[in-house]
Amino acid sequence: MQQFRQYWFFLVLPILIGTVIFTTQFKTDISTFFIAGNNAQEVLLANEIQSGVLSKRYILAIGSEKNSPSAALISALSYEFKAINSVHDVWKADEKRGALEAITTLYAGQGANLYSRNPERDLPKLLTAEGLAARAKALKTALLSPQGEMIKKIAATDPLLLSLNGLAETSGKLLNPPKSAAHYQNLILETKMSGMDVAAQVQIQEQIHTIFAHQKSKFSEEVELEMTGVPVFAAVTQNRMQNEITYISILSSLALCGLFFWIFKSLRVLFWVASLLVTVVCSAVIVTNLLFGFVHGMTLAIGTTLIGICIDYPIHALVHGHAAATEQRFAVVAKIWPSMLLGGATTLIGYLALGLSGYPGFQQVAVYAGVGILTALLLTRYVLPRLMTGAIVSSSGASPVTAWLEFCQKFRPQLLTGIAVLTVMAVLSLNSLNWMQDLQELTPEMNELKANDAKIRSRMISLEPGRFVLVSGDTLEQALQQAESVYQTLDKLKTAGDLSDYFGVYPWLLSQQQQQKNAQLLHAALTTEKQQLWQESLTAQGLSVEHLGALNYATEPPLSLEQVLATPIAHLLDNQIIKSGKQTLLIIWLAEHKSAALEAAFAGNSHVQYVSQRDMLNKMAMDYQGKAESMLLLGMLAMLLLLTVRYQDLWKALETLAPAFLSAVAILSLCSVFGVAISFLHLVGFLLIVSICVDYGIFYQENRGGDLRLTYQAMAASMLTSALAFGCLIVADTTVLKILAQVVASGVLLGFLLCPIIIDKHKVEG
Amino acid sequence: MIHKTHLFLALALLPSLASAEDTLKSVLSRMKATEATAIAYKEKRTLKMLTQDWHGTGTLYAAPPHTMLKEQRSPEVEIMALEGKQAHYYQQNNDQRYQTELDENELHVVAFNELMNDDLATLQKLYDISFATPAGHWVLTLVAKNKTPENAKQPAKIIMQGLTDQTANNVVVIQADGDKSEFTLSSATKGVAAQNSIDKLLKQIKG
Repeated sequence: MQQFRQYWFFLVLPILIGTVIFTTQFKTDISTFFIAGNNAQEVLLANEIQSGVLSKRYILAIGSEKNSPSAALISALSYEFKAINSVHDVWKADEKRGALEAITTLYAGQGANLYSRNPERDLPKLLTAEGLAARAKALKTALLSPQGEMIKKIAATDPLLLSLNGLAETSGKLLNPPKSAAHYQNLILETKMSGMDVAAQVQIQEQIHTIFAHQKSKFSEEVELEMTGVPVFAAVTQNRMQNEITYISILSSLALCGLFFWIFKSLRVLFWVASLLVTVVCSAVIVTNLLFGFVHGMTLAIGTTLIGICIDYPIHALVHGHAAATEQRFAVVAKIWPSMLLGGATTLIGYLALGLSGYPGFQQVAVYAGVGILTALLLTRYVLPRLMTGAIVSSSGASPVTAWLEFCQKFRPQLLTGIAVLTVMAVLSLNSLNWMQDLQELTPEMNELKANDAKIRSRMISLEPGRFVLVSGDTLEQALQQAESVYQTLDKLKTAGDLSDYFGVYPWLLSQQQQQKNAQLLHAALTTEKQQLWQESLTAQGLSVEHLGALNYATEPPLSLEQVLATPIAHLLDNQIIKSGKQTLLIIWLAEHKSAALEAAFAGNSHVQYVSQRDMLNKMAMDYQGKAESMLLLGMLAMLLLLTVRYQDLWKALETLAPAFLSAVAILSLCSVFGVAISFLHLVGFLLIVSICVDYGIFYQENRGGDLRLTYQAMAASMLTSALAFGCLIVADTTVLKILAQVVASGVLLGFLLCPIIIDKHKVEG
Repeated sequence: MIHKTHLFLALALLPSLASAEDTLKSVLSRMKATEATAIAYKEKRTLKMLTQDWHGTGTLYAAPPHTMLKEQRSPEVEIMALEGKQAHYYQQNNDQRYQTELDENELHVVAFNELMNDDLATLQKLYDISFATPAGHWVLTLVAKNKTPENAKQPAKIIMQGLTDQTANNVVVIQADGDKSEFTLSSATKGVAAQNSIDKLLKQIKG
C-alpha cells in the first residue's frame, strides 16, 4: 500500500499523456496569436489579412533573366496547378482577354452610367463642336486599330464610346506590363484555405514545385519558378520557428539533464523531476484546451519555457531534502512550502500581467503557464516527497556559491554603496533608452524573403503593397460614395507630384447615386442640337451617320457589384472590397507616393484613412507595448502589496523585491548604453526576470530551511537551470529568441547575485 | 487584337517553287516559311461604319517559325507584330505601345500560324477549304467553320489568289458582318536584309 501511494503518480502519467495526444486541438495560425486590432476597421482588416482573399494568393513568377517561358509551358502549368486539390483558381497576372471581353459585353451597355466621376465637368467639354469632332476622330482611329472588332461592337450601341471613358488610363495598365517583366510570366494562384493554414499551404507549395519541375523538364525550357505571397511567409516563419524550437528543445533538454545530473548525480532524481515536468505540461495543455477549445503552437513554445521556472520548486525540495532522512523529507518540504507558495503567487501575478497586455495569444500563454505553476507547486508539495526515497546527493557548485555568499556578507556595506551608485547611473542612462519603432527589426532573418517578394512584385505593377487608402462605409453604397470623393483628392495629389498613381474600383464600378446622376445628366444634355453636331462630326471624318449617328442611350439599371464579380474583372476587384455585416471597406492601392502628404490629405476624416500595414502593425505593437509596460509596473506593485501583506513590513517587502527590480533595471540600462532598441519582447523578458528573481528574494528572505547556505545552494541550482534553459535560445537564428536568451539569462544571474547583497540576513550559519 | 488580316498576309510572301500547274498542296508548301521575307502592300478597307474606303500602305514581314510583322507607313506610322502568341502594337503619332496575348478564339490568326508551318490538318479543322485554278491563276478560299450567332448567316472568309507558280498577289479578308480588307501585294525581298528590318522593327515596337 505504501509503495502504491508512492508510485500511483506514475500510473496517472501515461493517462495524462494519452489525453493530451488524443483530445487536444492544436492550432498553428501565427496571425491569430499576434493580430487583433483596437477598432472595428483594424479588426476587419486583421481578419482579412488572416483569412481573406489576399492571404490565400501566391504570385508565381516563371522565367529567368534571359529566357521567357513559352505560352505552352504557362498553359500546361496553369492547367496542372488548377488541378491541385486545394487550389481554387489560377490565372495570369496580366490577364487581359477576359477583362476586354467584359468591356465588350457588360460595360458597353453601361456607357451612360459609368462615363465619368464628374459629369458636370466632363459633359460640357465633350458635347461641344470641338469635343464631338475630337471624339469622332478618336472613334475612327479606334475602328481602324487592332482593337477594331471590339470597337465595332461597342460603337453599335455606344457611338460616343462613353463606356471607354474611364478605361482610357486603365487600358494602358492592362495592356502594358512593366519593362522589368520582359522575361517573366506571372501566375496568381488562389487557394481554398487561409494562407495562415501552414500545414495545408506547405503541401500545396510542395505540389507546385513538383509540377513545375516535371513540366520544365517536359518542355526543356531554361526557366525558374519564384514564389511569393502571404502563405510563403507564413510557412517559412512557422517552419523556421518549429525547427528552431525542436533543435533548441533537444539542446536545452540535454543541457538541463546534464546539469541536473551534475548537481544531483542521480538518474533517479532526474527521472522524478522529468516526470513532474511532463505532468505539469500535460495538465497545462489539458486545461488550456478545455478553456479555449484549442492550444496554439506558440502557447506550447512560450508557455512551456515559462513553465520551466517550475523546476525551481522541486530543486528547492531536493536540495533541502537531501540533507534529511527519508522519513523527514515530507516535513522538510512542508516547512519550505510557504516560501514556494508565495514565490508561485508572485510568479502568477507576473503571468497575469502578461495575459492582460493585450496580445490575443498571450492570454492563452498566461492561462497555460498559470496552470503549470499551480500544478508544479502541488506536485512538489504532495507528490515529490513520496518519491524522494533513498540517498540524494546535492552539489550545486557548493564552494563558489558559498564563497560568494560569505563575501557578500563580509563586504555588504561596500557592495551596497557600489550598487547604489550603479543604480543611480543606470536610472540616468534610461533617458537615452531607444524604443523600437519598426517591428521589421525583429525579423532581419526574413530580409531575403522580403527582398524576393519586392523583386517579384516590381515585375508586375508599380503599386506599393501594404500601403493604401482605406475607405469605410456602413454599406457598399456609402463606401463607394466616399471613394468617389477620395479619387478627387488623390487626383490633386497626383497633380502636386505627391502620388504617381492609384488604383481604385473606378472605372469598374461607381456608386448607384453617381451612376444615376451620370445617366440623368447625359439624357438631358443630348439635345437635338447636340445630335446634329455629332452627325456633322461623323461626316467630316467619313464615318457613317446611318450606323453611328443616333445617340440613343437607353436607360440601364445601375451596374451592381454582383454583376461585376460575375466577370473576369472580379480578379481585379475582389481584393479591394471587404464586406462584413456591419460595414464595407474599400481599398485604394497606391503607387509610389509621399506618406506624409497622404496622411495630411485625409487627416480628420473618420471614413478615410491612409494605411501603411507596416505602420499599422507597429502601432498595434506600440499599443501592446504601452499596455505591457503598464501591466509590468502594476504587476510589480501587486507583488509588493502581496509581500507587504505577507511580511507585515513594507521595508522587508521592498528588500525582497529589490534584487528582481534592480536586475531588470540593470539589463534595461545595459540596453540603453549599448544602443539596443527595446521592444515589447524585451518587456516580456523583464517580466520573466522579475517573476523568477522575486522567487529568489523570497527564498533568501524567508530561509525556511534554517540553513542559509543550503537555501542559497538551492537558489544556485534554480538559477543555473533557468539561465541554461534560456541561454540555449542564444543559438537560435530567430532574433526574437535571441533577445529572450540575452535578457532573461543575464537577468536571472544578476538577480541571484544581488540577493545576498540587498537582503540583510544574519551571518551565514552552517 | 492584332488585325488578323495583316498577319495572314505574311504567309502570302513566302517563296514559290516552280511547278507546271498549281495544286493546293503545292501552294501550301510554298507558304511554308523558310527564311525572312518582306513584301510591299497596299491596303483597302471597306467598313460599314466608314462612308468611304480607307487606304493604307506599308510592308509586311514574316520570319520562321512564328514571327509576323506589319509596318504601316501611311496614313500614319503603326507597327504590329506577332511573336508566337504574343502580340505587340506601336503607334508613332502618340507614341503608344501595348502588348497582349493572342486570343486562341481568333481562328484566323491561329490558322495563319498553321499555314506558316504547313499544317493542313489543323487548317482543315478550322476552315472549309476550297481551291481553284482558273486560267493563269490559283484561288484559295477559306471559310470559317466555327459558327457563332454573329456569323451564322455569313461566316468569315479569306480569299487568296495569285498567278500560277507565283506567290499571292491579292488577299481579301471578309468579316462575318461584311466588312472587308483587301491587300494588293507586290515585290518581295528575302534573306538577311528582311531579317535586319524585322529585328529593327521589333526593337522599335518594344521600346
